[in-house]
Amino acid sequence: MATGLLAKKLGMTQIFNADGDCIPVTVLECGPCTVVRRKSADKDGYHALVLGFGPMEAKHAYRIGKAEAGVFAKAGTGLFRHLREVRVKDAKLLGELKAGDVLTVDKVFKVNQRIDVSGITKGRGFAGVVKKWGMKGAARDSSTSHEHHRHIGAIGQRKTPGKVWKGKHLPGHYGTDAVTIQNLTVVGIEPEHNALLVQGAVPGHADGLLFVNTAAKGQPKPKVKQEERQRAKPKV
Amino acid sequence: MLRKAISEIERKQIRQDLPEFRPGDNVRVHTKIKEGDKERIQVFEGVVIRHRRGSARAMFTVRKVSYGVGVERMFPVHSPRIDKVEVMGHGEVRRSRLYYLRDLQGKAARLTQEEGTGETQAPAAAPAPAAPATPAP
Repeated sequence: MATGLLAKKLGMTQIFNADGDCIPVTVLECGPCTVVRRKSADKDGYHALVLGFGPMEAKHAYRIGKAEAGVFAKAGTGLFRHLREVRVKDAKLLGELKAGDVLTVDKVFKVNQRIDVSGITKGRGFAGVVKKWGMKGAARDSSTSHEHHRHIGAIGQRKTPGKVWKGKHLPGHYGTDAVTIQNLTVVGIEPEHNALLVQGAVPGHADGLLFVNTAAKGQPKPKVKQEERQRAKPKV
Repeated sequence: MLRKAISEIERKQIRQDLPEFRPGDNVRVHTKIKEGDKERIQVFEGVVIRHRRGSARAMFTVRKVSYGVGVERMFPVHSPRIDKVEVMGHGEVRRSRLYYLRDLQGKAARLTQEEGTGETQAPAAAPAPAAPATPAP
C-alpha cells in the first residue's frame, strides 16, 4: 500500500474522544486517489506511485495540456486535476498495485497513526516585522513617536561591520510557503465521506490541496514495549 | 459539499438525552470526575448566564456564589463527561447574556422565577451554599 494520499482541507471542528476530552481536529477530504503510474527501480531508479486526485471531465482536457493528457491516456484512467508522486524505499510496500487501482483513506491510514501533512500556507502579502517575525513593536501610547509602533528598530551596528547582516529579519512577502507539519495524529477516519480527522491545524485555507504522508519520523512505540524496556534496564 | 462532511461529523457528537435549558435557568450539572481508577460525580449548581450555540461545539456557562466568591464554570453541552443536567427552575430574563449578574450581590442578584417552576432562588440569595464539591456516595 502506498504511504500517502492527496487531500483537500475541508475545515476545522472539534470532537470528544473516548476519555471525554475535547480535541480540535481538521477535517480533510483524503482521496480517493487513483494510481496513474507505477515507477520501479529498474526503469526509473526508484520505487514510487504516481497518484491522481480530483477527477476531471474529458472536455476539460485542454486545461492540462496534451502532454499530461497523454500520461492519463497511457494509464487508461480518467483525467485528474492533481498528480503527485509517492516515493517508497521498498517495492514490497506497494505490493500488487498497478495503474488504475483506487486508494481510499481507510486502506492507507489507521486511527492513532502519525502523519505528515504538506501544503501551501495562507498568503499574507507584504507583511511587517510584527506579523512576519513576531517582533514586539514599540509601545502603543504617546511615548513612541513618529508612528513607530509596529516598526522594526535598529538593523545593525556601527562602522564595524558597516553593513546589514545577511538573513536579517526585515519586512517582506509572507505566506504561500510550502510547509510540512510533522507528526500529526489521526484521530478518526470516515470512509463514507473519505474524511480524515487530524488533530490540530494543517497549512493553508479551506479547499486547499494537501499531501498526507506517513510520518517520516516513524510511529510511536507501543506503550507495553516501553514498560518492558524499562523493566529490562538494570537498576543502578 | 464542502461543509457537509463536517456537519455530519458534528451531528454524531450531539447528545439527545439532555434537557433543554436557556440563560436564566437554575441548573444542576452532574459531571464525571476521574481520580486515578475511580470515577465520581460532582454537582455544580447555579444560574446559566450564557448558552453559546453551535452544533457539537456549543458551550454554556453556569455561575454560582460559593462562600461569597463568584464562581463560573463553562461546560461543553455535548461533552460525554456530563452525566446529566437537572433544570431546577426558569428565571425571568430579558437578554441572552446575563453578565450583569457579576456586578450584583445578595438579594439584587436573584432572578424572578417564572411561575410554576422550581422553588429555589438564585444561589446568590441562598443561605450558605453547599460545598462546591459534593461527592457522590
